[in-house]
Amino acid sequence: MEIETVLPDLPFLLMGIPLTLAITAGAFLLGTVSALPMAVIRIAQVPIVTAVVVAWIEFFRTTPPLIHIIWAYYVLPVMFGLRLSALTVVILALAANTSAQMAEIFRAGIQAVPQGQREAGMVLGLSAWQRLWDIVLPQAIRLIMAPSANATVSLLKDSSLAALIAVPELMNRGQILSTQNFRPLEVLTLVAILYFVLTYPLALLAGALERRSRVAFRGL
Amino acid sequence: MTRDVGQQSGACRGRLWLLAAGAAALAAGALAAGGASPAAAEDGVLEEIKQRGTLRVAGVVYRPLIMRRPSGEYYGADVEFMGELADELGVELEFVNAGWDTAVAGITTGKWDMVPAMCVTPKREEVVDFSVPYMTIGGVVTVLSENDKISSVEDANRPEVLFANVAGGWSEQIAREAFPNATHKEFGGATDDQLAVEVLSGRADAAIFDTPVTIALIVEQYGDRFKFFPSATEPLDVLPCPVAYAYEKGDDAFGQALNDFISARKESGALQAMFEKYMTAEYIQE
Repeated sequence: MEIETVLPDLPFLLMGIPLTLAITAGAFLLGTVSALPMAVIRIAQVPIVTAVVVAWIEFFRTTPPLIHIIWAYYVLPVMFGLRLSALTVVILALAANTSAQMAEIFRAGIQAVPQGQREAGMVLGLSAWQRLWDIVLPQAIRLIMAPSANATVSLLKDSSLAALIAVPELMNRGQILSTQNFRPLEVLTLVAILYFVLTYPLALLAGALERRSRVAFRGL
Repeated sequence: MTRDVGQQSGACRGRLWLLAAGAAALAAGALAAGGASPAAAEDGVLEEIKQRGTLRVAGVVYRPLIMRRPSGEYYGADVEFMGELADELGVELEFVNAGWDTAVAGITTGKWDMVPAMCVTPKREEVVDFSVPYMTIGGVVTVLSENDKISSVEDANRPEVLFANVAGGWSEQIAREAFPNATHKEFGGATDDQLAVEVLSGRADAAIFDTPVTIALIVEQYGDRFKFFPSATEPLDVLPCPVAYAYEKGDDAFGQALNDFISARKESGALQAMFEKYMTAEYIQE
């Protein structure tokens, strides 16, 4: 290991970070926005619609995102003539995955709010929407934050799968660099350190949120 | 299942320390022999083979020319050829366990009489002699049949043509050297099959595969879904690898025997027939 031999190439790796962050942010936003209605539908037990949502969640929770990416990138054009860009494919595939994880996180958070609160809302004559938005969610959010931060850490790491279809993010640049300088051990170590620098603040945040959420329903 | 020339010229790439070790062994051999030709008797290897009663061939593995079963048995196109050569000489055929890293050194130290399926390179020609080539491995531009952007080799050298390459691979070298004006997309840690899928799905316009081995596999699997430039059997004139038999430097009698053997099979069509038999998925894939 002679890490100093690859340090001059650090800027080449750093240029991949904006794309890594863009993939993570894009997939997280898309996934989270679609996860909330999915969680509500799953809890509400709407005929057929709930079954579809459950199928979606279970499919994406039980199959590897690597396959979703390869499939969307290569099979969609061959079978349906649908040719999305590599970046779009990665963001959509990881968003689908995140939506499944986040839907379960939302569901757990919502269901943790004591039933009595919802009943109190009914007694006061609040609509279903008001009960969800004004009573349940503000409390559930405290339970949702920590696992969401953890999901983001996983997502950021999964964004490295984009390297498979030549999206020039951090991992792809690392792979290309190591074939150029024949220093794969050093390059991959450097890439790992960069991922750590990106994810560790998120992991710290998740830990802090977890400690706060312990006080969420104390005394209820 | 690397099938590119990287394996063929294994000693040249990726295993530099082995090359260094091979060179060291070579130097040691030359020293021990006091600079004289170490293995060849006065009458050359051909006489030695006849006296010994066996033709000793380096058992290097290059699919589908020479392959080795777990039992240790060798099979493949070159194995059949070597059997015929041994028959002509009236001797037994013996394969000696060998790797690409020591293949050349084994000739100079007399461990085997010849190495089959070897890529002729200037570096190797300094140390050993080669027969006439009996096939040429080289890169072929592979394009989806319905892609009308490319209908000749020249067409591929335009910026709107996108090549899919394995970063640092043999095919990338060819693609960049032959088509400097094209656009090149780099995959780290990919294999030939992903490049084929890139072209198949229209994600890339073209990729370079080696003929005859990988091209034969693609034609067998996909029929006429792909078209090839210059053609399926004719490689680009960039980094070609003529495949020949290597033997002890200066042993012209043995060289002549090998050349006669190859020429006779080229003329009779036996060479072509043998390749057609072995250039099939059954032998190429593993």
